[in-house]
Amino acid sequence: MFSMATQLFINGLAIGAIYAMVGLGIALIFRAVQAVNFAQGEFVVFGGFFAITFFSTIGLPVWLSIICGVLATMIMGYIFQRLVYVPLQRSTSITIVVATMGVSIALTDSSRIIWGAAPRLFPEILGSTVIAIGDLYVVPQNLVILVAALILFITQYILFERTFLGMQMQAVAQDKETAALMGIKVNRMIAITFLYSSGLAAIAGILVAPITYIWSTMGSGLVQKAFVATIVGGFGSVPGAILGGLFVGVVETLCGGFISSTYQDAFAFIILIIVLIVRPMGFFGEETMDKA
Amino acid sequence: MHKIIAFIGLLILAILLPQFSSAYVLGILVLAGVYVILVLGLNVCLGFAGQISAAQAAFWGIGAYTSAIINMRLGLSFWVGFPLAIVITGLVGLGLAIPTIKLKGFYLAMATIGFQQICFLVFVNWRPVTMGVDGIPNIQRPSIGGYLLRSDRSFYYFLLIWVLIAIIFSLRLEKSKLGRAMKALRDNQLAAEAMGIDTNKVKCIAFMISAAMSGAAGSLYAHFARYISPDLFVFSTSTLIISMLIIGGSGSVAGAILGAILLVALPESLRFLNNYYMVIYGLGTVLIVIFMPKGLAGLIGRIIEKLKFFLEHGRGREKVNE
Amino acid sequence: MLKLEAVSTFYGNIQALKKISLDVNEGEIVVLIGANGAGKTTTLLSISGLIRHAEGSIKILGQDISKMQPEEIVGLGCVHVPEGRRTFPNLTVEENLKIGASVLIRNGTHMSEIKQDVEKTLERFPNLMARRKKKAWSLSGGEQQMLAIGRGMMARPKLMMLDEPSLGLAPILVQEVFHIINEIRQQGTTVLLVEQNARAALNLADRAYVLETGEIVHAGAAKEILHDKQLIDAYLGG
Repeated sequence: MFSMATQLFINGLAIGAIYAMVGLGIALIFRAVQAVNFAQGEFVVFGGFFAITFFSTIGLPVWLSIICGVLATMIMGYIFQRLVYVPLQRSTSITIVVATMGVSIALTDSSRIIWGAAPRLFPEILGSTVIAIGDLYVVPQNLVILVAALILFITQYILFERTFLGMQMQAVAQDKETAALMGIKVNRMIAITFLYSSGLAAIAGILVAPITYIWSTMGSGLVQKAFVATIVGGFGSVPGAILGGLFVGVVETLCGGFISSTYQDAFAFIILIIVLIVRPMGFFGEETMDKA
Repeated sequence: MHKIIAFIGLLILAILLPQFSSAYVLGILVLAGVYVILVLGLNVCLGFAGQISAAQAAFWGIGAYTSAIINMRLGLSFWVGFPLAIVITGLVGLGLAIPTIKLKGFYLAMATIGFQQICFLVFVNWRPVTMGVDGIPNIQRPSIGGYLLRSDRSFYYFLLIWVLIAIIFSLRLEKSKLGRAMKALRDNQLAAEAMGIDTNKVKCIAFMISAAMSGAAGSLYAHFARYISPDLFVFSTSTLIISMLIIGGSGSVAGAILGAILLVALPESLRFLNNYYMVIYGLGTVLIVIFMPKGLAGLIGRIIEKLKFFLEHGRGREKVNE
Repeated sequence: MLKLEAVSTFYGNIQALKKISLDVNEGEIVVLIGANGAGKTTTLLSISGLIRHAEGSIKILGQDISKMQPEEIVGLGCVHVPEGRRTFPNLTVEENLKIGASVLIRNGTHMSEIKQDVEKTLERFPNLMARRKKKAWSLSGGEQQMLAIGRGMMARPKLMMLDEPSLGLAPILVQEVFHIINEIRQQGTTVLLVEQNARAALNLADRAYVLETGEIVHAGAAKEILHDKQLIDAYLGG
């Protein structure tokens, strides 16, 4: 019983780390431009597909395919920002929701047209042999996910809190106009935010591809879970997105294992509705609801 | 007035078209009719009241399943199932609106998404009631006073009546005090409250009407197709309905009708587009949001205005020259 | 240093500035006074580039700024300390000061120099020194104002524009603020001041412009305006 719980806990952490990465991208975009991105899931999908193409079709080594996949997705993110967010800078939040939903639809089907409807696979980095640690069976890719996520979050913390670039990005997130008065190139900071968020999404896609495969319609489900994660953790908060993601991943996996596996996906949404009713600002929420 | 002429023209078209259509086209016409009602429903809560709902497909499903279960498993007629579907779905909509009353914009969207996903999972997994992925077969066509609507064509005309009722209802609602209160809420909630509007009540009513209309569409669909299964009532259908409204013109009844008909008919009529139509819908939504916020209906409206202006002033110039 | 000629600025269809002209010479303290809504803030926003002016020309150190982004205008040496302090609430006092020097860092000034500037600023403002690692939202109104001014100075500006620095401050702090502004001028920075608190501002300034509904209705030596009873009653709240 205990070992099953631990087993599920670890699996939950791994999928939670993925939710956290996607949610982090969403939170950063929200902090920068006060708008949500419903298409974030498609960047995950494209990231995975790009890497798969570089690896399977073009024949690059795994590590290079990963880098190229991330870069290609970042370029896509930059174009996306210029074409969608810049014209809609002063729109209402519903407008942005609808517009990014439209982009999500278009990108989902585009990926189907480009790569087909069948799920595609990316090779595992540490091989597929399950590692046995006492009573626990750890899928190696889960370990890769957890380690990668840890490195990523630590690196990000250093970047944001300890570098001047990070300070500028925080300033832009807190008060765009005053940041401009400081001489900060606000548009550049926003572009960097989008590049970084798309990169995060791509990494999430590449990390999860060996386990769940990549298929064109997986984006919307992922982005919804990621939104649940950011709302639970506190929308707009960076630690909130990370902890929220891990929380959702763990809870949904544990409930799926102990309560009901058929309704596993529902648990995240049940948590969502409870949080929205009881404490919409989540655990670390600082933004008022009106901003959304 | 040009609007009435256009409407009568369309109505004549709607009545005559099925006489010359194959079974396949007839099926599309019925589907278009169902979607018109769905989009009109979304138009009430999003177009009039500004409350985003990504749960329209879930409400559609609740109406469909209610009516189907009442008919197929309880053996009662469409005329029991249909009104019950409307009432029950409306109440469910109200049940969603009340706890989420304070949520706005993105948060409200997420709450409706959560509801949509939970509903779908219930449709799939609550086998004793919904029969899960197998779906519910053998739903009966309605009969009117002994006459069974066995042919698709006869059902089409039956549906047309309900579509017209939905249109007239939407138009009356738009002009009513409630409708104006909804629009005030949509444009500026604080200002609406300052004017004395009970925005909480208006929000709840908007959701309830929107859900009820979707429920009606669900019941009608179930009794036409005679078989329903969960994979119709998914999140991507909800976003499709949103796209239809946005492209057609959110807030306008004509826009809702236009969007629904266009987006149902397009992939069927332009075969070569069949593979790409989702991309076009998605891109269309984005482009309309950026460049034509009032949708195609708004665009057509502006063209008509310009034509009218040209005609009137053209005539005026002639008079002066005399 | 700064020259506005026939500048008009619109908010949508509303004309906030109607062909105003003013100039600020090196080493001066010039003050813009007028009632609420007269267009004082709009003037500063037009100069710092947050709003684009529709007509006329604005020249800083001889350069026309109409095609420049706010970040470039700061690069010319013109710093705008906005109305309401606008310190970055979740950055510490030190971080706020460092951010003020963004333009210098971008242009290659060494971090060590910036850190020296930060220390000097903190020495000048002992209140801030005591709270150097605290987040800005936890500071009092007066402390935030000092921080905003200190942050502005970090860019080593040639021209500093302050929008209502005395707003909401107790009289003792108001005095302190004006004292600091005088120091700033003595250190070689030109000052353009916007103030509701006309008397104190006129006491400090060399010259003044009176703004009413988007137009300059009076210009002259600050002391003259201060002693002109008619003007004081007509235009100034005091």
